Amino acid sequence: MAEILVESVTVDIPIFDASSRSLKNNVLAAATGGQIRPRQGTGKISVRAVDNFSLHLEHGSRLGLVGHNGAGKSTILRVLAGIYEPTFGRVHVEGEVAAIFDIGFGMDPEATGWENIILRGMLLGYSRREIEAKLDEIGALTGLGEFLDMPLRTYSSGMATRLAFAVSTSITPEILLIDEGIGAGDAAFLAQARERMQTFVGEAGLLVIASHSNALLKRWCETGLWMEHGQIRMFGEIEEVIEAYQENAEAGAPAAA
Amino acid sequence: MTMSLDKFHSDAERYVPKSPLWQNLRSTFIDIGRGLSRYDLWIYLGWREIRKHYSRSVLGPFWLTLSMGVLVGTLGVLYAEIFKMDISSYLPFLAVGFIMWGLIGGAITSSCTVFSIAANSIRQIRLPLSVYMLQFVWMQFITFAHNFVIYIIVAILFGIVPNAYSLLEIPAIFLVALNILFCAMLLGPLSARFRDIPMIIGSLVQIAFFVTPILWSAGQMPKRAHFLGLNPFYHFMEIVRQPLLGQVATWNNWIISIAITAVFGVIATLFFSHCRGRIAYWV
Repeated sequence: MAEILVESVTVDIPIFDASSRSLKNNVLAAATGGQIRPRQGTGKISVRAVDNFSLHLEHGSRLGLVGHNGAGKSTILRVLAGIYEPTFGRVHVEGEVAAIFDIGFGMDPEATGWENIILRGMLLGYSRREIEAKLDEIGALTGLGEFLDMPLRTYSSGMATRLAFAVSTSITPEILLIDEGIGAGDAAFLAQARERMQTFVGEAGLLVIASHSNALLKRWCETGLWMEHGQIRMFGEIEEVIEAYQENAEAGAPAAA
Repeated sequence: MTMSLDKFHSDAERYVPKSPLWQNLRSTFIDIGRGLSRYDLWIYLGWREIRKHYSRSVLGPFWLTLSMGVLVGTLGVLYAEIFKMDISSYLPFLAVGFIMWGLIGGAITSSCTVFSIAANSIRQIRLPLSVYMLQFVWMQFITFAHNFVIYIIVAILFGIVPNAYSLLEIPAIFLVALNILFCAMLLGPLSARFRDIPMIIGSLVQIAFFVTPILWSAGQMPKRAHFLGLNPFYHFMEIVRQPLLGQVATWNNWIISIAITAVFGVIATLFFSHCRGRIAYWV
């Protein structure tokens, strides 16, 4: 059974500049007791992307994340995916996780369509044997026909998305994390892919998706979570959350920090 | 769905409420275990990377072999003259030295970028970080295998016949592979955080090349040059070079190499465990 448990998670993302990236400067700063430092507090700058965030999702949950750019949606997804380890707090994720953050990631423009299916499939967690067994099925799904023998760089962007999409949705994870991209992508293609996506999303035991497309969130999610300044502003029925979020956005008054 | 937080699992996968050191070490071993089990991925990615690099050239990675071969051939003749040494013993010595230094020095230099060049994948997909390190080690050995062709040619030309001692090459190479992995564990995160490390390491490796018996042999050193024994690269060079020349390195070389590997392994594991969770933020 898929389950996600997040307890008071805080994520500080360090921001490095050229100076704090330098060992020489750090050593000098330490050796001189900070007296001849070029700038005050070098290297200590960080952004609190997620602040004291708690969440418990059980099998069958479909959660949509809404919020302004920089509200912490992507960061919390990366924490759930196990990419970022939180600065404070605890995360417990039970179940096989698949994260789709960038639909075009892991594609090689020089390689053929077939090779890209293998490459991306293996990055998503298939073994070589598994992906080769699925090759024909995924190839058919792309609808690209003989273009699969051509290098990816000859594809139009629509065709490339089609390929990436077919591979990405061929996996059947227990927990599925999706960030943006898909909703913001090609609308016509999305209409075509809707059915495929529906099964894909339907097969996952637990879904967390961040998107700026309210229509998409309403279709796929039951629960909504509105994030603001890395914190939970509102949590509840997806319709209600989106409505409140939209009202807030239309009022043009970002909530007081 | 609830937001209750009363439920906790003692078998929590990622955060075990024990001492941080123990917890970090445990995460590291899980990471490495998972990385090893994805061997088909890093083998595939490593091959691809090498192939991609040379996709439009006729000779592919053999360009490196060719350039090293030319270098060994010309320097071999030249230095044999300068040092007044017999070319049939000096050139094979130099060839094996260059091939092995190509592996060791090359690996140390490029271990600095093991995570920074994978920055995009590290932030986009969830893979054990050890996958990137294992892929890196694997790629070093693909290049090494190409350069090894030079040794085969030299061995045929100068009639070096493998004997029982040559089998010692296998554990010696294994020790080198372990040290390359430890290098990646130590220098990878360090260089991701401090971007001037690769430059520092680059200079140090260059100095190491000249103070290690590769162009010259330990036998040419005056007796009082005890400091040679303080150079860790000397011992590693001996254990990987001698078997290929049908000779045997001293026990001393072996013991010191194994000891260095053990100590380095402990340091690298502790260091990597300490910063593993921060690497995604640093790259």
